[in-house]
Amino acid sequence: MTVVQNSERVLEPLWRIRLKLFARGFKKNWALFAESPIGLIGLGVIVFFGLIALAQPILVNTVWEPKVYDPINGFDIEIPYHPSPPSARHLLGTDVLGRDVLSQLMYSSRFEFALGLISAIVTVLIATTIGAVSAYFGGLVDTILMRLVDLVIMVPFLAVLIVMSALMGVGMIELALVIGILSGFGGTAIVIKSQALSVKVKPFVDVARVAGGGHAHIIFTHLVPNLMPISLLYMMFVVTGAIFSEAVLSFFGLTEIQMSWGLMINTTQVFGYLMRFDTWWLLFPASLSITFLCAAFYMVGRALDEVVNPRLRER
Amino acid sequence: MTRYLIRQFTISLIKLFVFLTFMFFFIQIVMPGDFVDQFAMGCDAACREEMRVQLGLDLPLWNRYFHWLGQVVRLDFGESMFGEPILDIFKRVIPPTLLVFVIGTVLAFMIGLWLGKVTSWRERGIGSRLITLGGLVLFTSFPPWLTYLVTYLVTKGGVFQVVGGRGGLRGPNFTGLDRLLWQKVELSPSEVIITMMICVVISALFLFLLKFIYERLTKSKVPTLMFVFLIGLWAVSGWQMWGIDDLAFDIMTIAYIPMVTYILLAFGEFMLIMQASMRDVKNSEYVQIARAKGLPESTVRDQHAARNALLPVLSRLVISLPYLITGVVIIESSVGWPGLGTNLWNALYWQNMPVVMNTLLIVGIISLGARLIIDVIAAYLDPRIRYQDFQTNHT
Repeated sequence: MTVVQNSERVLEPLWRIRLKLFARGFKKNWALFAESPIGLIGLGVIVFFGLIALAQPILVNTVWEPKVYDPINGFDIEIPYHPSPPSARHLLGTDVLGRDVLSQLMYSSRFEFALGLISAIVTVLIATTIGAVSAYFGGLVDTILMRLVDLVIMVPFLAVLIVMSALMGVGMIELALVIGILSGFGGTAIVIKSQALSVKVKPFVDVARVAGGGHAHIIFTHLVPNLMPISLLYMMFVVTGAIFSEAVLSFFGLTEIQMSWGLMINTTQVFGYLMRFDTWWLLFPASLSITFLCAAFYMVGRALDEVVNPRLRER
Repeated sequence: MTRYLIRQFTISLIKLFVFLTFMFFFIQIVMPGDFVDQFAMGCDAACREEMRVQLGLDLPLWNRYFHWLGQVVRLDFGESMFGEPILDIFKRVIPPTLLVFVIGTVLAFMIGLWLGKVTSWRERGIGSRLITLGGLVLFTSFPPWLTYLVTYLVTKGGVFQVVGGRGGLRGPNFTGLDRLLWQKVELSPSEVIITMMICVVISALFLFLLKFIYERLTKSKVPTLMFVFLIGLWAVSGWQMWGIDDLAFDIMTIAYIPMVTYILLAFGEFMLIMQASMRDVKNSEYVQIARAKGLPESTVRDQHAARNALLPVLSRLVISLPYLITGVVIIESSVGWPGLGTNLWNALYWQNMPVVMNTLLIVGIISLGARLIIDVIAAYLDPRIRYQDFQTNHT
């Protein structure tokens, strides 16, 4: 009995060691990340939007009356003229159809996060697989995949999206998938491939091969985990692209989405309030949200770039 | 170098072909109904069938595809569904787009490079941090909103009120132009724009040559700002000689809004790439040596660091070209500038497939041409590309 107790005291469980290693790595990377104010600003903005996205359902259920403050169907009967300017009742005013702008804004930010997340995950899945496979096999597979990637890079991405969504109804999931696939086959794959090439020649890959590991085993347990940091970095840029594309498509009224920032501006434009300078609350909150959230993800990506790419660090 | 360029060109042509083929089938398969179906209200089944035969929509898909491909090869764009020759449509809509795209890109490139150079040189300063942040926010900002802001500054803010600020910004066909002025001449705005562009390009090329000779002879540097100013002056006097100066200025009073928006949107990208590139170069040994030689800091920055930092920027530019073209399309349609982008929207609205396909073709060709130009500049700047053929022949 005593022997067992002793060995338990000496050998820490594996998960705790992994956790410790992870915490140490995280601390070090966080210190690097926190060096640049741009990354911190970006993170702050993202957290802010995340909080207001979470706050909306709570607010509707507690403080706000659902009939008045519903982002899609709400209508305020007590105000005679819509759009009404910001007041104590509606902090950002109401839109042309009598809906609360602040509630719409908060509701949409949840939607944008979902869109960005889905397309980023799809992109990373595709790009990592393509990059790892084409770097690992080389030769014909590499040539075919890279020509495909070149083709996708050359195409004006949004023009294709515009044509597509004009001709068929595009909802949130489809849009996220298409953005994810297009950007997954695009520039992200090239960057990840170049990283994979440098991982491929490391000794542990050879060891795995000598130990009898198959191709799939080596790619998915040895190559891909080492590509994760750079994939995470490119996820940020994909989120920027996804939010931006969705906003543009919704602005032109091409999507079948119920409520988003782009759609709020579209509503403003359809009712002819876009170039009127007195009703600023119909345009500015949504546009500034798009701009700031896109910029925030981009900034975080840039700051992460310095953590992930040691070449960029000054020492 | 010629072989390198020819190879690049051929590869891009093949890519363009594959892209267009894919788009053709994709659109035809995905599209619900066809062009004729939207007139179902005033037309019975037999009449619609007749219309289909007339437009060639009854043929099988592969037949239409080869017909269209044959047209493209013969550079005959065919007719739109409304019977207007597509070449005429393109003659009308391409010059306005090129005016915004070419001049805007060149100016944004210069501004972005200069700002990137300056801000990365003193990275820790509060000024460069603010500029970086501003460029980043502008670069990711929502184009219609940016258009709105520029328009606001023009009409209400009183910043550029001297220059222009007429009301009719939205709506196609240059509604903002001065009617009385245009009634007197037979020229259409697009023809005037073509002449304007030719003036600008010729004067830029000529002055660039002059600058090159002058710098070689006197071993001194012409300030870039002065150079750009000279090109502008020369181009304007060219307009005067051509006798289109009134018309050109009239066009410029509305053209500068999409242009300014585009420059604001695009310069951030160039600035960020240049910053990253400069950061790579900044601590390299040859920069230290240049500084140790006692050269002034600006010479080290411009002659030693920035010249070497320029190459990665050019190669990155190839990737961001489609993005820039997209930016032009969005800005055009949110301002109502009657260019390629606005035309694409209208064609999509009417399901006018010949126009849509050919617009995609033209966009592809424009990005191909821009890519070739970038390749030439890169080959000019980088001896490694120039001597590639030489090396492969001798080893």
